[in-house]
Amino acid sequence: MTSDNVLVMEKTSFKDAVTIAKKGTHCGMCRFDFLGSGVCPAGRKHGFLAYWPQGRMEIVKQLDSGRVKPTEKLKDIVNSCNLCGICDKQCNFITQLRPEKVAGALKEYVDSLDESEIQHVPEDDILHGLREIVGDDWATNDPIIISAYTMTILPPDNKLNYYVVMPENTEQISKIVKFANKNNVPYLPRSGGTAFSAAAPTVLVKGLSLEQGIIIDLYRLRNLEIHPDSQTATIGAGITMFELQKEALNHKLRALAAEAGAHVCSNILTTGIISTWGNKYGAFADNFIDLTTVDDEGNIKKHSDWERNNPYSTEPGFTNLSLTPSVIVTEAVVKLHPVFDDEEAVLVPFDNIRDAFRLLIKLGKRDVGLSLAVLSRKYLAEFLSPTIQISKDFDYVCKNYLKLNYVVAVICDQNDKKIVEDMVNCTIDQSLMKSLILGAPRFSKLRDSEFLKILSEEEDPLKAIFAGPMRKHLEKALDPSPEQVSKVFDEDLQDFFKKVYSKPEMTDIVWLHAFRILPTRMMRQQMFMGPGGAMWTGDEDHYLNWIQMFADMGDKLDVEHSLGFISPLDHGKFAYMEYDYYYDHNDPEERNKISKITVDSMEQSLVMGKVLTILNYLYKGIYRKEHVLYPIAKGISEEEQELFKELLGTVLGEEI
Amino acid sequence: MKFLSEEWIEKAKKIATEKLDPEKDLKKATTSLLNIIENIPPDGKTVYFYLSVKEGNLQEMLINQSGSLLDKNAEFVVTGNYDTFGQIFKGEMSTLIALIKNRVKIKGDKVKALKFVKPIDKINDCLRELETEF
Ligand SMILES: Cc1cc2nc3c(=O)[nH]c(=O)nc-3n(C[C@H](O)[C@H](O)[C@H](O)COP(=O)(O)OP(=O)(O)OC[C@H]3O[C@@H](n4cnc5c(N)ncnc54)[C@H](O)[C@@H]3O)c2cc1C
Repeated sequence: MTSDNVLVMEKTSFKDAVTIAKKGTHCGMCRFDFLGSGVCPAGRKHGFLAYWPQGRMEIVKQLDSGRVKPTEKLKDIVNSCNLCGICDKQCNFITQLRPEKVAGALKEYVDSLDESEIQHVPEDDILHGLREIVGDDWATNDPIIISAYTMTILPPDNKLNYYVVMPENTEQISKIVKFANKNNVPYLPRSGGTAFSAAAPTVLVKGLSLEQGIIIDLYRLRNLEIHPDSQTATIGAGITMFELQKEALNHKLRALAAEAGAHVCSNILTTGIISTWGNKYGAFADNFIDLTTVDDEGNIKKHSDWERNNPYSTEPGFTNLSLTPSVIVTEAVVKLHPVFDDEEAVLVPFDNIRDAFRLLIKLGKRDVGLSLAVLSRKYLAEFLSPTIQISKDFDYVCKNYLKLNYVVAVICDQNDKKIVEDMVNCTIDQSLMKSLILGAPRFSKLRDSEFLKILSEEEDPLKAIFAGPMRKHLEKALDPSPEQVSKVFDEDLQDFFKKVYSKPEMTDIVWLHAFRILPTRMMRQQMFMGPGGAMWTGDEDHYLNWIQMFADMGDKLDVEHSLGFISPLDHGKFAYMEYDYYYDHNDPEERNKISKITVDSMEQSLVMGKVLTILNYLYKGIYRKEHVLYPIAKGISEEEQELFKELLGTVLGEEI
Repeated sequence: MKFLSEEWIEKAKKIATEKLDPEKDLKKATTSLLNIIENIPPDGKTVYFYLSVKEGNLQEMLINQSGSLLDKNAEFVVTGNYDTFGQIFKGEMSTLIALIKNRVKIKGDKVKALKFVKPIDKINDCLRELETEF
């Protein structure tokens, strides 16, 4: 960014910056280059979260609340930012926020400070010890730098009694763990912060976050090598899913995909990578050839070491709960999968969940498709819509006129495409999806139009619009183009977004499924919590009742809710389901409701049985799926239910 | 009085026997527990702290550094470092949180262990009345 741009930029007051920052939800998308616009140079250089746009936003909040006072490092943080505007492009695409305004206001604030207002931070022996391991630049106890980690590993109210350390290899991590143990200091690794940020506003924060001690920020473990011959990749713990996927695609290969900003090593460990590609590519220990881990005594181990005790099995049963990792995964050799030339996306629209579920499981059991999922209307609306309002209108149109409530989304080759098409009435093809993406603003404006009124009177509106005579009228009405969709963004960013939407991948459903740059739109200026788990699919009613249980809880507490996705696992024998609740993360009452739902839904799921809840899923990713999913869980007894309640009550520590 | 010193154990035994109600507080539990407390400052030694209850009555509370208490074959063995046990005894962290955060490891039947968490926390609550130096 040039100084001219600084001059034309309207000044943002500190108060307004706080308002913007509070809307942020720490999706972490500003830490990797998902739009081809580059990535924050200051963050890349200095590593600590405080130097990234996300961290600056958190610092503004923390300064405003009085939890931290300015330090010498704060000057360094603001000086490292040249207001280049990359963060605005990235963040605006996802959340419509402008982090650069926050960075600008922070600069102003620091410039106006008197030297006497700058706090001196004393060093101590722990800090010296950490610096001996990683070098002076990569360990700190500066409260400003530490405060940036609030909501993505630190709870909001604790004293800032922490250190942050950024090791660059496994050996350093091993030394840090040994050093921490010797000095009786707790520690916890942090990667992309996406799981932390989702948990932070809820009751889960106490169990997941670090109450004091050493934050081990893994960003600097950035080794990434693709091995085309073995179709594998070696990746350090600092590599995001997006970065791996991009490198793999250069070799016509694909990784099992989940959240773009999640670090792959962390994702393997925390959830075994829950993914729409999981039926074909696997889950849990299917994901990797080898792992390098540091255990809680600081020992470096590899899964491939044939002399060690079986590292693939885990204790069965509902009491096997853990809210922190048992080891730190520092490097993984992951499996990659071939990308075929004839891959295509086929989406089958449904008005009801039973039919959608039935098709999904049928396809799952036959191993049709590479990626396979039921996606809800809400997902489509959130992912495809460039703004919050458009997503609301998009959802309204789908619900009230099209009766488009679910799609079964299949990424497959041409053979499988034929199989799917032979099984169903109509499909939404790639070209129509492209029109929906580029024409989303117009689509949402069709709300209450004559066209839709006529359509809704059709006996089967889905067929009429996607396979019948109305389709060409719809395409015409949408008038899809990069220009049109870019007009909904702030004026100064429209040219940029026109270019972004002109890229073929931005409307390529296969690419979007693999690179997953759209799901964080679920957390634009609001939060979501997605409980669920993997349930045995042998009893359709049982499965659908389970989904209904989540819906009823949302209704009861008056929280916006919707099914997220269902995706088969293990040849369709199980299916993972996420049910989402959307809420204002700044509203304590809403947060309480979400906490209640999180706990109650878990308990009810365990009572129903045949399910591994997300809470039981957590931190089991390094084990074999056969040991995690089997034996199929029985419903828990009344006595066990009481115990579970007690357990959660104590662990989460609140009267919910 | 230093945490886990001979003197501390003596007083702990006394106060627990006096104050804990076998039925209300200790739920008439019959079990035994060995805490293995590692990395005790300043020289990083390990201490073994064993306790057993029968029908809610405290039977034994023993401490040593030799590891011979392992021979008692306690129903549950909980291992963790000094700081974690300190936090548990100070009431800053519950036993369950420590367990779920992998700060302590437990050997023994987990469902059964859950039943004893409340009584054990009661013992800790009671011991907190001792003036303890960590
Ligand atoms: C919008 C959104 C969509 C999501 N979609 C999916 C999805 O489709 N599938 C899915 O599986 N998950 C999904 N998640 C959850 C989340 O992305 C995963 O749990 C992921 O593993 C978190 O990775 P992270 O790098 O952000 O980890 P963090 O949030 O930084 O850490 C998560 C936990 O892992 C620990 N940890 C971090 N790195 C390591 C390591 N290298 N070794 C050991 N422990 C470590 C941390 O201490 C923490 O306990 C989603 C989350 C969001 C916000």
